Amino acid sequence: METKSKNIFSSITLWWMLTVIILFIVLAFLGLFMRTEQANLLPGLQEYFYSAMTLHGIGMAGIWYVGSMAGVIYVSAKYISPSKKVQNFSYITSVLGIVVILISVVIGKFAAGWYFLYPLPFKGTWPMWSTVAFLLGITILGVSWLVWNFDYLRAVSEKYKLHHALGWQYISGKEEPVTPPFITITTTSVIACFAALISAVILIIFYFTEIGTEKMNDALLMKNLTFFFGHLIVNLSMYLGVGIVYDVFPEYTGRYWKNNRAVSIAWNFVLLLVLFAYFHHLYMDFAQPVWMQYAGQIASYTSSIPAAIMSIFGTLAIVYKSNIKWNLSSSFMFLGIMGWAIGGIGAVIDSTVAVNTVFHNTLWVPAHFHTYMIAGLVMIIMGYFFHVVLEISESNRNERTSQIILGLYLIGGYGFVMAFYMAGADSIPRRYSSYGWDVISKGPFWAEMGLFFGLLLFLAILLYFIVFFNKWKKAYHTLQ
Amino acid sequence: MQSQKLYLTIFLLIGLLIVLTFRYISRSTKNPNPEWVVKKAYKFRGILFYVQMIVLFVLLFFTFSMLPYSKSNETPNLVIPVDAMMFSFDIKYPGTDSAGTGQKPYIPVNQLIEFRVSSKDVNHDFAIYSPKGDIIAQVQAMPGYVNVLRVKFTEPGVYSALCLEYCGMAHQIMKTEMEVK
Repeated sequence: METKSKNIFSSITLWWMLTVIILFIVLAFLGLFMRTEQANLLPGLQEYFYSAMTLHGIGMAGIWYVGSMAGVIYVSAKYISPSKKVQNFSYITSVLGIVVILISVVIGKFAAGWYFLYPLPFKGTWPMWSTVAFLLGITILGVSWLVWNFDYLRAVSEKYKLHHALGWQYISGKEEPVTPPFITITTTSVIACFAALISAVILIIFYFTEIGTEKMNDALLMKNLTFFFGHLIVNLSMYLGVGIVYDVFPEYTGRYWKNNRAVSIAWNFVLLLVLFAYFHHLYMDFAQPVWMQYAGQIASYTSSIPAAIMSIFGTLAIVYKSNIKWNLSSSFMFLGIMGWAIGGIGAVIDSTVAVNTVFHNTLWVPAHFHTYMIAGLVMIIMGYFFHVVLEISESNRNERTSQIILGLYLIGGYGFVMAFYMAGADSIPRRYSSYGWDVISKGPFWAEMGLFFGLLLFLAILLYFIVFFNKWKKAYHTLQ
Repeated sequence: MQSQKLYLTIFLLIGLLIVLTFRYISRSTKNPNPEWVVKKAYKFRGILFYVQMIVLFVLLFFTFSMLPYSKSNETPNLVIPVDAMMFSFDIKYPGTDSAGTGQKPYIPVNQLIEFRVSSKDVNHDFAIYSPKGDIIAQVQAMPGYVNVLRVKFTEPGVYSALCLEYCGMAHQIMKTEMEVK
């Protein structure tokens, strides 16, 4: 513990963590506001629904990506040397990007949704400057995170040859040189992140070109670029989180993951498959070539195999009959892997073209990705953040409130997502500020259910914040 | 059983299995056994891998026969162009004028209907709801493209079409009705 508290990224990680958790609380509140609107409990504020939806979506996708990435950087200091200056640059520019997006949405009332499907940003009721500001905010974040990813790969390449970092020596039957699984997982994920961010940059260039030349873009191409970026960034946040679990969880179980042929093959396949799975977002675009629809379902199905066989099964095997120290961190990380598995089942079901016909853009979609996030990645990262503040503050105390937080979080979280699943099975559309038609009249009921459990979840998050912030302050003073 | 409820049931059963598995594993730590090594699970992992592969490939094979895309060997009985726009659908029933005068248009039951769906502004979605409120088919409406959706309505009644792609501040009001008889 003592040597790890000297991690050179301690200070910047503390700031990342605090920023992520505070923004999480604000964005979760917006989520509750949306369910309140859908339950018809605040009819006077309906005009703010879509702006709240935009901010909630872009914010949550963003903070859990940076939360995972900041966590990865902190762990990586054991193996490689990312640039400290780049970490500071990424933090400052990310905050700047967030501020610009906030101006666009709060003042400019930009409300085209978090993935701002072309050409809606140009056709809304909001002023043109707010669209430009939103795109500018995305550009700042894109550049910031590209530099961040590039520096990470640079740091990996200083110590490992690329094919060794990817674990190809294991695939070819050799055992040397040794590459920690954390390096293989994060290298494959960061390469894919790089591809996602390049896609976002191309998308933004197309937007700015249209603003400059007034020449229309191709809607199907823009949609492909949008979902390539959006799907990858959210999924890769999870893979980065899983990379953290591979490295940190063994500290609790006393059993360690080792890199071998199976692990390397699995994660190299993930890199390949994740690039094609995004096609499942375009199943209902019948103009898309049919081979892409087949490829989307095949990639979506097969990408679940390495996840289930290596990471989820591996977590279970490492915990089984171990002498694990259960605390808030280890419980959250273990249950986070469970949430990933359950959300993954919801996703695989919806990635079946025939099923997507009846579930596309219903509340089944937020059901599965909220499971994947709230019960999966968010639990992993919250558990990990707590681990880091304990480590930096050199305190090792098990919190008495842990059981309460965990119980409330599980009841609230799973109740909240179940209201989405049930509504999805009732064909209730997502992204509706209200459900005024007879055919979707069950919408407000499920929104009320979601709101009830969402409030329990929110309470758990607030309790977590109180406990976390106590340790955070201690960690902060330890570093002074 | 209606298809949505079937998928929900499958999800709940598998979800329950996952929860029970995690519970079993976490409870096993009450009696730790340091002799047990992870390698012992490798054989079981191998079995799980082949089982998952077989299940997924059977599902792929089975579900690929249920794709909603139009088949070249089918000829539709009726072709209906649909234009989506903020925040309405313009359904151009054959034989009716744009003013919508004359006999109220309807869709014949048990006939193969081809909807040619496009958009005049942003992305929309043309989702058809049965009179009971279940989605039976849908397709995106995209500017610059025509998406072809073929549906056979097997029961008469008033069907609704809702927009399921977020298209702006009044997205939630975008709806039309179609009578099938």
